[in-house]
Amino acid sequence: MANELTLPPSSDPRWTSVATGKIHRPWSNLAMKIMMSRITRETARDASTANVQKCAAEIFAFFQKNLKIASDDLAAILA
Amino acid sequence: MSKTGMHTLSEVSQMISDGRILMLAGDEDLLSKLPAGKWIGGTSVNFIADQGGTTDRDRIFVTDLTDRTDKVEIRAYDADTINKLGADYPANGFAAIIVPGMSGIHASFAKDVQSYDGIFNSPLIGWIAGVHLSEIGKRAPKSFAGNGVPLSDKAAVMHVTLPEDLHATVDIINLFSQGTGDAIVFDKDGFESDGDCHIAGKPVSLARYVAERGIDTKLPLVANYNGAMINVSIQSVDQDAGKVQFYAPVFNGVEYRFAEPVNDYAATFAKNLQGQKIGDVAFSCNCILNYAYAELEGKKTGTLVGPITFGEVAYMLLNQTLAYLTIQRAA
Repeated sequence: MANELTLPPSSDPRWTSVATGKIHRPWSNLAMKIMMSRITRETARDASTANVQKCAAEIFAFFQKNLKIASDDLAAILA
Repeated sequence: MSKTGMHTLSEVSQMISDGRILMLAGDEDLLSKLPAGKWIGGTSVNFIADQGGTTDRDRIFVTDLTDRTDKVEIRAYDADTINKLGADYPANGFAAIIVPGMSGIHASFAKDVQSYDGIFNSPLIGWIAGVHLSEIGKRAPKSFAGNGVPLSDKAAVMHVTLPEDLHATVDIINLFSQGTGDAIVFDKDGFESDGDCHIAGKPVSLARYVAERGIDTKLPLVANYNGAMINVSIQSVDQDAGKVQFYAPVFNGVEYRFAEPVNDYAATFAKNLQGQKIGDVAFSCNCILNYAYAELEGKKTGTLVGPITFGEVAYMLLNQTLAYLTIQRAA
């Protein structure tokens, strides 16, 4: 599945929606579960554009580096 | 052929001389006699071996990664550099970390690891080195980064590059789940609750709450991280001072509940394992509290073997949990 998925660019608004919890899925990868727990707490505490963008960039980087093992979670975001 | 399992000092020395890529757990007196090579190690004298839980000061538990590994880089990080761990990750592979227990770097890693830059960008697996329970306070746990020099305040990390057709995954098996008791929320991060926290929405001393409810403190606090059950174990409760100490930090904003009890850990574990497709496990470790509380000496945890530790690392510090690494061929 990993090779069939295209990673949206870092500017794609879905990354900020994931960071703020507006897009929330039953994540399957352990790293995604832990990272998203921290990020949604962080963006709830500080919802400034700068902070949300920083968190969105972290999520984008995660998928860039982990496409082989987190393709199910990327598919869930794109669905 | 993989050499994973219990081995003598001379056998492990030979493996290192042969250039094998190893993660090692054993008594400090053994690990400090090993030659330099492609290995990292951490002190421990308790293991789940092929025959079950065992205490062994004469042999070393070997996790042999040689056959599936392209190359490795071994580094030691101190409290000032550990936050750069993610920058050194391999492009395809994983990082294995061993942190000396009860050290400054243990505390800072546990508290801050989730915020290290890029920490989730590669699988991160490992453990907190320990000592025999009777030696706590007498001997310090140690890590080893590629040679026999014991490190009491540095984390040993092996950055492992896998061939392109393989990938690594880290996951956990935690038999504990959140009980139906009150939700507990802490006002600050840390290894201690020394004042009021919020229990069922009201400010309450956790120490008093534990005493009044007669809570079994062998049961961890459990948080639900998007479906991953993450434990924080109770180290001590001081009623007079109103303090509760934890084996891992609690985090502000996370909702904890005391766990449901688990009857017969070994049998429940084996049953749980049967229902899962966890693939080809290259490494696993389990917690000294599970070993002690569930009396795992002589008992097996399914087919999984590995060191017994003072904390497990699967991207973050865990308690009373089995952490494991699988290496699989890309689909």
